[in-house]
Amino acid sequence: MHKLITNNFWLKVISLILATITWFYISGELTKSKFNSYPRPPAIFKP
Amino acid sequence: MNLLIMWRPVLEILVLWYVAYHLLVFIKGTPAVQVLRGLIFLIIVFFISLFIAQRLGLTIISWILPKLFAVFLLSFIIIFQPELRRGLAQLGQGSILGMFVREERIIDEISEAVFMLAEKKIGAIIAVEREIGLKPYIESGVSLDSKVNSELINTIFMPHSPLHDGGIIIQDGRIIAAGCLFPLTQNPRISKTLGTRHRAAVGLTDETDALVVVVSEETGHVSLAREGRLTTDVDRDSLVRTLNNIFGQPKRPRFTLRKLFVRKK
Repeated sequence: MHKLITNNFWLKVISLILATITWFYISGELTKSKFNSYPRPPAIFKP
Repeated sequence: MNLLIMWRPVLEILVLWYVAYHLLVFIKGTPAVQVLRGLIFLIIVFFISLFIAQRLGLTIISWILPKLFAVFLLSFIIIFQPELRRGLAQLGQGSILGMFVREERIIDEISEAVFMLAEKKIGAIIAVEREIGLKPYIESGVSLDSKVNSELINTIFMPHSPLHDGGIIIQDGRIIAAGCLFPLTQNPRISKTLGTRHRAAVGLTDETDALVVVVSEETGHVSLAREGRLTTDVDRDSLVRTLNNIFGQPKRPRFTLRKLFVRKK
């Protein structure tokens, strides 16, 4: 267990940071593109 | 409920982590690391510039930067062409046929070298790395990273050669280092008549799961050390059989989370 953590410890930390940043970035981009693809409401909206 | 919603992002991050970690391990120790540092710096600059451009409402710059980034990703493939080629070659070598052909050659080269040395009564110690990494011992020697070749092994162990005193380490089918120092065994059951070379062979197998082949300088006998035990006066057939067993065993016989992340390095 100790070796699991200490072996290439910094590589694991850096890769985890990279993975998390990538996930949040792509997730943000996808949310943005989904939001942009919704039909726009008409200029004058009558309920 | 929250857990059910959360499992997908966690799984995705874990997959990304696994891929990123193995990419980093793959390029670690190669010249690509320097290039990667530069790339990371450029990526940071890119994100900072994009953030500033968006904050200041610089629409043209905000539009150009992501496009440039896409081109930049393409250049990534060109810059890392040698590493990508090496990676693909390794994947190819990992195929069933490639693996057997390569391993058969390595076994032949090792046994040929060992028995040539034994015939000439030249002392030698060869460690074959298995699951547990031999990095500390590799660092004690001189880095080589060459193909396993009987002539090369013979040359290394020739008396008066600068590297003949230590052992050589074979990692992933390559001679990774020579002149390496191995720990001497403290096992009281080991015969007092055995020399330092044999004690070092057993010492290394006490601490790791490596297989160590030793050639005695005095008798010219070949011995095998494994799991803290020494088998003396091994003939060529037994050596080839043992090496075949070692190389024939799947490196990762069963899937465990531990083995996902523990590597040689």
